[in-house]
Amino acid sequence: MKNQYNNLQIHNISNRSDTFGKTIAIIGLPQSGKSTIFRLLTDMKSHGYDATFEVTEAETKIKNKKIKIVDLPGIQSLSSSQFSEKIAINYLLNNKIDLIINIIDSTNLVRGLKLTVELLDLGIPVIICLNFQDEAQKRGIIINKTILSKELGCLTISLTARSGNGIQELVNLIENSLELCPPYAKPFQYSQDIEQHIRELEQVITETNINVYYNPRFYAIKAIENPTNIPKFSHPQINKIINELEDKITQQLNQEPFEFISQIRHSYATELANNVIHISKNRIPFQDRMDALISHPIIGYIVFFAVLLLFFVCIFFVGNFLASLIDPILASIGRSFAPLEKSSPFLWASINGAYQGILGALGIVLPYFLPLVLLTSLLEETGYMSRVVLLIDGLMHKIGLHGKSILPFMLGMGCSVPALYATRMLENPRDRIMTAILIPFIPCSARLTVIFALAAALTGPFWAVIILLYIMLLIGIISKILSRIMPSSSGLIMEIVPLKFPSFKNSFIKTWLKIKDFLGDALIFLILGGIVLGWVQYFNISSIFDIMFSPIVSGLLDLPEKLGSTLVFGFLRKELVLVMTYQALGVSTLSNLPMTLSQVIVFIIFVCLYFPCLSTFIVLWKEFKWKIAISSAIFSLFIATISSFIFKILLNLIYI
Amino acid sequence: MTLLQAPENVPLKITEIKSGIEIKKQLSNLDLYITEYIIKLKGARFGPILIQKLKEGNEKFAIGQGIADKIIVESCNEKSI
Repeated sequence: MKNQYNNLQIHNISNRSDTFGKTIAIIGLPQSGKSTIFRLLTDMKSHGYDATFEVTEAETKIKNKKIKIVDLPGIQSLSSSQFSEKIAINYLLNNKIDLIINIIDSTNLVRGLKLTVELLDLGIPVIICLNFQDEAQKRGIIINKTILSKELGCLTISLTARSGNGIQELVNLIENSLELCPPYAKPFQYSQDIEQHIRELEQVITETNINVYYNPRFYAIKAIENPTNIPKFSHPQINKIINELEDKITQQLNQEPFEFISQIRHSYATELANNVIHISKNRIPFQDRMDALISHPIIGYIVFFAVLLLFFVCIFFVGNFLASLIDPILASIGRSFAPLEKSSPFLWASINGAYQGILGALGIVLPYFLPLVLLTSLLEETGYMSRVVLLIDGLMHKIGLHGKSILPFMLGMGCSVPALYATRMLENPRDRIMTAILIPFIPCSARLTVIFALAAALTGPFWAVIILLYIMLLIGIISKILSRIMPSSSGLIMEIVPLKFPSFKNSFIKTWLKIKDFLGDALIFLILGGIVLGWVQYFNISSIFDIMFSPIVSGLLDLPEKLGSTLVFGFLRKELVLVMTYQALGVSTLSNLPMTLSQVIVFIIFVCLYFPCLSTFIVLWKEFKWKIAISSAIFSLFIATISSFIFKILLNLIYI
Repeated sequence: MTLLQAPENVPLKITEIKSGIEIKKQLSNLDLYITEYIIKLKGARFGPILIQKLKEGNEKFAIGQGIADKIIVESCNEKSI
């Protein structure tokens, strides 16, 4: 895709250099638009997911100056203990940053400014970006940037990142800040009492020669707020000062020091926001009226189920339509090398294997993947997901989780990998582990493709719905059992962000990035997998895998023994199962599969539930260590076998 | 009374938070402290309660019932806000 922001004098550096120039960090509250700005500044070098739970770095060149841009997970405070926020804080504490681009949602100025005040303590230049100007205008919010800049000592700019408006001005500001010495923001002054303790701590930090990247003042304040975030400051003198202050604040105000300091910042941010905001019209925006409807205790559920139904119906029908457009083209390509089968069987097996991989990616997966990611992006854009948390929290409590876990689950319908990263937003380790164990059971786009493709060809939408309902029921039962074993959850505390109109342009860009990721990553896997299976069949060694899986596949589930080898490839990517089923059973279209309706349904159930795919397994291992990863894999194999067996018995009873 | 027991659509003042440090940290990250004025918008028997801060914009927060039961509030009249 040709980058539409090429005229911004920003270029990628294709080869990684060992010596970076300056480092710019993009910091802001969750959902303030950081990743969108990162994508624009780095020539779209990013994945398409909105919710960022890891540090993303990219190298860029601005006016021949090499710079590294870092997109950090959203943070509410630099003293937070939340897992994803700690990742951002650790990065800040252990890496030297030269310039901060602080993204603030213009419709949520007070909370954004409170974080800004905290960032000023770092003692490095800050550019404030007031994002979502379009939404602010709709609400009649006008922010006086001149006063704001003067009060905080920072450069301030307003923009609408999702439409690209104002990005050029931001680039110019970055250029100026890198060329000239940018203004150093003035640190915020706390009350006299606190300032005295800060000065004492600053002195100890300076005297003890602890290696620090930033202003000692910043570390002094952090030591008071959350000493656990900077363990290297466990010095007897520091502990003494902190304890003194803690005793004083607790006795006088019945508050913890972090609460007191946070409240001072909040009061200042509120006062500042009141000084710089002018509301030009006082009417309830359409989004707020919509919000009242979709958060309603009864109508909200009706809207939620309607959205869910529409979501799946769209994927099913749009997917079918796209597949019907692509199929004839791919079929004609397939016929072009058919003569090789007799003249050069090995070459034919290799080419046909690669072709089956392409067929799987473009003909089967892509038609369903495309509407799925587009609709998910549009939903993410609106902020509807946090309403779903509100609606679903009660139900989630019934299965031993709380509402926030629904967000990783919803992301899991796209791909389990970002869903596993999204568990970082859960504060409680127990909720994180439980959600992570359940995510591999959520039908991801690959498994939804298997369900939709097989259902469209052989069983009809009724069975697709039954299978999806069964999987949801199963997740509920497993979660309930796990909640009995693990300690209880801490409960929900969550901000409900204002609803926004989705930006179609931004959603299309994100969809493109996800499709590009898929084509770059999955297509190679599918082609190589297809070639290997072609060889496996050519040399007739698939029987080894078939025999290995035969106790479950043919013995327990009454499926064709040849499907055993397809399951091995399904571990690489679940979509491969479809392609491999073609080859293993020697048919050209799914509708010709030599299987009964019961067998197809049992096979779908098994494929959807057995073993997470390779990428999911690796991320599970990385995030939760080997015990959870291996337990999850064995557990899912067990659940898949039991579930398929139950379906086999029930279907035999129905159809005999 | 606790936030869980408090009536809907009445101005409330947070007077005490009877929870552990982690919950207090999460609440203070969302600017919910002692002396803060709030209004309870929705208090369902099933699911979290929905609150809004009285002094600022249209920020809304969902609070689980267990946590709402640890936040002590008192009713107040609009003049005192």
